[in-house]
Amino acid sequence: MINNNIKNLSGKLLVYSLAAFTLFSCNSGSSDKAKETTDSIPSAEKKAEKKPNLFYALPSPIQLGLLLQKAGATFNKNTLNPLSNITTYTSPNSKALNLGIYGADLSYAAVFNQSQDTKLYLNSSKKLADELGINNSFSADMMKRMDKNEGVKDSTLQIISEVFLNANESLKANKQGDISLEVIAGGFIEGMYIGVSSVKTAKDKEVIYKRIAELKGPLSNLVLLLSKEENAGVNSIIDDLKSILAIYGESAAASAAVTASADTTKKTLTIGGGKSNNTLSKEQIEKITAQVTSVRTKVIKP
Amino acid sequence: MKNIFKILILVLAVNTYSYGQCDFFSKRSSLGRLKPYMNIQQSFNTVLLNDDKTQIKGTFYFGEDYRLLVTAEEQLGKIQLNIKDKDDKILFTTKGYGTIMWDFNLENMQDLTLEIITPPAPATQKMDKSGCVSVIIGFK
Repeated sequence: MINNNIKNLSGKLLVYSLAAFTLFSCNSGSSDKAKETTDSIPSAEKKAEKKPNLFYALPSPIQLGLLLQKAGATFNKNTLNPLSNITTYTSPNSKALNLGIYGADLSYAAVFNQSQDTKLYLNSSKKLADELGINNSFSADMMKRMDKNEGVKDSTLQIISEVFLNANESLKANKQGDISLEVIAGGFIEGMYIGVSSVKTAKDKEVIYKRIAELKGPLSNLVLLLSKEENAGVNSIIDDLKSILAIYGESAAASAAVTASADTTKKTLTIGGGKSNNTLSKEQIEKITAQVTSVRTKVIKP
Repeated sequence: MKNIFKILILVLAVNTYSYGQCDFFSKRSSLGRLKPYMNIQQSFNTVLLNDDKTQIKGTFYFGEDYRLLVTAEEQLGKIQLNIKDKDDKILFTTKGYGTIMWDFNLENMQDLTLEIITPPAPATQKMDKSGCVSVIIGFK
């Protein structure tokens, strides 16, 4: 009887210990620091009460660049973070945030087929990645593939996507989820900056306004993600991002019911309805532009 | 006491395996199948038990086509994918073993939640099983 109880207890301990260890070690959406304070052996009751793993997906800088291009934006080299700034990035936090910034500039240049800038910003991204210890993402093979595909836009964008996904996964595997998040945050901030900077030169400003309005959801998700972290890099920008979100908050967005129609043979789905009047006033755009520029300046000139 | 010590050693050993396994699970199992779509530079990997779930919240845009690849270790059983709108209403649901892959597009920008649910352990299974679950989102 006692032996059976010990066996049952041991079995439960094994299952829940495994669950706890693996759950907290693999969840990219949670903080390493938060993990340390979490009970590592949840009980059956805790499992029943456990909130679902929650992740936030943000659009990649390539996505943002392509959306801007479709909206009629043009390439402006002056928007890029000067390459000479790289020598000022000495802390891991500034390196991570600016790897995201340079990665977004690299993506922007590649989307607009700017081969020379693509090469230069790839090299700068590689340098920061090497210094952060994620040189396997920018491997010699990958650099060769980039050379071989110079000027071939689709292939170049595919390679950049793979490189940054690999970097993200390597950082998480090395328990540097906070650094991975900073790279993503830097990329999103630069993507927003490129977006608001496009307003000046765009022929149809209303389309760009709409694209900027559509960044409210991802910005909100980024703030939620960063709120779980406690490090110098994140602390330096989170209040600025919240203040941008507050400007968006002034806009009203009514929406209609959302529907979905599926083709089960082709396994395709169209999600319709839900049209919302996501728009921003000129005044809001100006405020957002000023605030995005400010936080971006803080990141690129630490 | 000796047994508990052995179990703790086993837990640590298996955890080390699971840790590496799940962080690169998406790359091994899904990335090749994503093409010609590009990944969004984030992957969502976790470990689920039986009768468990994970959610991914994101904004999806009009003008882009998306591919959704959900991969789960088969010991978890038949997994379920729900796509929900911002009010948590289920728009679409499907089930599958191992991999679920669907392509979708939108008539308007939407904030959506992708929810993956694992089934409860069958009556014949005394303990819950755990396994890696990976979600990759592609766009073009």
